[in-house]
Amino acid sequence: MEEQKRETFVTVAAVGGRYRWVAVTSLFLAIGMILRLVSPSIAGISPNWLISMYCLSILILRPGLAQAAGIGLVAGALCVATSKAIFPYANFGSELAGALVCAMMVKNPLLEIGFLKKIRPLLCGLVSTLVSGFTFVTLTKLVMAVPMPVYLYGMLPVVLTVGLVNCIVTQLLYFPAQRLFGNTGLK
Amino acid sequence: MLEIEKISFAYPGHPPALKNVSLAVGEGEFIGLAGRNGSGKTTLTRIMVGLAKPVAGQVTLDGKAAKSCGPDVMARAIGYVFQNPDRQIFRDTVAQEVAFGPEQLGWSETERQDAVTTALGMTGLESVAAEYPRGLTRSVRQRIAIASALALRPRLLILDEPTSGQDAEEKKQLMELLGGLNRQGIGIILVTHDMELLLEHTQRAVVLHRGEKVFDGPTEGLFAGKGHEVAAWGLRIPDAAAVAGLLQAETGAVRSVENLAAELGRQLEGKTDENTGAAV
Amino acid sequence: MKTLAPLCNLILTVMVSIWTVLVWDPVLLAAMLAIEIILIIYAGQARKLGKALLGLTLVAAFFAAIQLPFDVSLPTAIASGLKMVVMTVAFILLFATTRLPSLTAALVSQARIPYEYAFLFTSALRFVPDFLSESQAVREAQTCRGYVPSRNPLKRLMSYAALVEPMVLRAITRSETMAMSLELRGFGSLQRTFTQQIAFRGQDYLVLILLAGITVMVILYR
Repeated sequence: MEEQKRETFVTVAAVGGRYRWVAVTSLFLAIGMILRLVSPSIAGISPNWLISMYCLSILILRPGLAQAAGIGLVAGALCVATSKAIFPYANFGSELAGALVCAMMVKNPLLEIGFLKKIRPLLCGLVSTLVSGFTFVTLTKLVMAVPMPVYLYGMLPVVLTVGLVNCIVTQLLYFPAQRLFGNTGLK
Repeated sequence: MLEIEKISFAYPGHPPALKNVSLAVGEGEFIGLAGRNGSGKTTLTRIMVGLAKPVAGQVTLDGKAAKSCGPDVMARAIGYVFQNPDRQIFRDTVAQEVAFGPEQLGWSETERQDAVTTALGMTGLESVAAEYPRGLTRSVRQRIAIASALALRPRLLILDEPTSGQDAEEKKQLMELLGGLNRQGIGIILVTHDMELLLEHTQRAVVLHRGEKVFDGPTEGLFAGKGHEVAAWGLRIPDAAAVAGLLQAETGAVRSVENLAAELGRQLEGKTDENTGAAV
Repeated sequence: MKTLAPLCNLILTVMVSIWTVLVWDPVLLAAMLAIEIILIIYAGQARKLGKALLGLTLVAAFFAAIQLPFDVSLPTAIASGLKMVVMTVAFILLFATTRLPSLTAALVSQARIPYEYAFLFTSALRFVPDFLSESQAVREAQTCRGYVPSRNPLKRLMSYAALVEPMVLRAITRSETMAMSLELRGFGSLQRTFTQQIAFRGQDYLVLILLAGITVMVILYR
C-alpha cells in the first residue's frame, strides 16, 4: 500500500499536477495572440498562430473531448476579443470545431503507427486549420450573406493556404516542445 | 577597434538614457562596465551591437561607421551574451545550438564544423556536445550561450550580467573562462553589479551614472581614494579595496581579499625581519 | 454601462450583436454605431477607440467593396460593412466599461462557466504583455547570433521557428511553477469567493427588460 502511494505521488509530480494543462494552455494561447500581432506574413499569408498553439497544446496534453471543447471555446473568445473579423462570433464555432477535431485525431490509434506518428503534428495542424477555417468562413457567409463567388474563390483558398502553412508550423514546434514537457529534471 | 563618439539616446517618452558618452575599446581589453540600475549600461551595450540606434553621435567599428549595421552584421565582430540564455536555446543538442550562428551566416559544412568544435573547446563543452541543452544547469546553459557567440569568431564579447543566478563556484569558473578567452586575444566587456568581480578580473573600469560616463580608467583607480564618489554613483566598494584603502601606506593596490591577505602577510614578514626578529 | 452588472453588460453586447445580424438598414446600423461611439467617449476610452476604428473601417470598406461586383446593392454592401464595425465596437465598449476580473467572476458564479476556462481566458490575456517583451528579447538574442529572415518563403517560415520555439519552451518551463502555484493557492477548490461586485440590481433587470423589448421589435420590424 505504501509503495503504491509513493509511486502515484512521483507520477503526478513528474507531470506537473492537476492544473499543468491550464498553465500550459494559457501561456500557449498568449503566445498565439502575440504572434498574430508580431509575426510577419510570408508571401502575403500568415499562419493562424492561435490554431497552431492550441493544436500544440492538445498534442502535448492529450485532453479529453470536453476539455478540448473548452480550450476551443476559450480560443474563440480570445479571437472575438482581439480580432477584426467580419463576423466575430464565428470564431466560437470555428475554434470549437478545430479543437475537437485535433483532440480526436490525437487519440486516433491510426496515427500511432510508424511514419504517421512522426507526421501527426503536421496532420493535426492541417486538418484542424482546414476544419476551423471552413467553419469560420461558412458561418460568416451564412450570417453576413457574403456572395457565393467571394466565398468560393476568395475565402476558401485562403483557408487552404493557411492550412498548409499551419501544418508546417505545428510540425516544427511540436517535437522540441514535447521533449521539454516530458523532461523530468535537470542534470 | 570600437569607437563610441558622443552617443546620446533616449527611449520614447522617457528622460535621456545616455548623454554624450564617448568610449574607445581597444583590441583584447577586459573592461568592466558598472553603474546602478538605470544608469545606461545595457543601453550602451545595445547601441554597440546595433540593437538600438543613438539619437546623436556615432559608433565606429575598425574605422568604419556602423550606422546602418544591424546586430546580425555586428555579430561577426562583436558577440553579445544576454543575461538569460534560455531566450535563445531551442535545439536538441549543444553542438546544434552552437552551430546556429554559422548556419545563419551560410558558412560551409566544413567551416561550421570547425567553428563549432573550436567554440566548444574554448568553453569546455566538448563533453556535453551531444546533450540536450535545456536539461543542463543554468551555468552550463550560460556557457552554451557564450559558445554560440564565439562560433561566429568575434573579436569582442559583451556579456550582460553573466554571473546572475550563479553560486560562488560557478561564478569563479565563468570568470576563469572569460579570463582564458581574454588571454587568447578576445576583448571582453563585462556588464556587472558585482564590484568584487570587477576589481578582481577586469583591467579597466567604465562607470555610468544617470546616463553619463563618470569614470574610465584602470580598475584599481576606481576605488583608490574615491569612496564618496563611488558611493554616490550607487556602487559598493569591494572589501579588498576598502581594507586596502585603510591600509594604503602598507599595502598599495590589491585586487582581491586573497591578494590583500597575501600582501599583508608579506608586509608583516618584512617587518619581523627588519626590527626585533619577533613577530609583530 | 459602467454601473451595470458585468453579466448584464455581456448580455447587452450579445443582444446588440443579434440586432446587428438581423438589421439590414444602413441608417439604423449607423445610428447604432453612433450610440456606441458616444458611450465609449463617455467612458473615457476615445483614444483606444480611435486606433481600432481606423483599421476596422478599412477592413469594413474592403468587405463592402468586394461585394459590389456581385450584384449586391450599395445599401446592402454598406450595411454589411457597418454590421462588422458595430459588432466589433460593441466588444470594445464591453471591455471599456467592464473590468475583466468582474466579467470572469460573473461568468463563473452567474453563468456557471467552469472556473478553469474563465481563468484560461483571463490568464492568456494577462500573459500577453509578458510574452510580447519575451518575443522582442528572443528576436534580439537570435539576431545577435546572426539570424536574418530568409527571402525564400518556405525557408523563412522554417527559420521563424528560431524565434517561436524559445518562447514555447519558456512557456513550458514557466507552466511548471505556475501549475504548482495554482495548486498551492487552492485553485480548483469548490468553495470560491469573488471580491468583485457582480450582483444584479434593479437597473440591471430594467435593462434586460428593455433589451427583450427591443429584440422583439427588431424581429418584428425586419
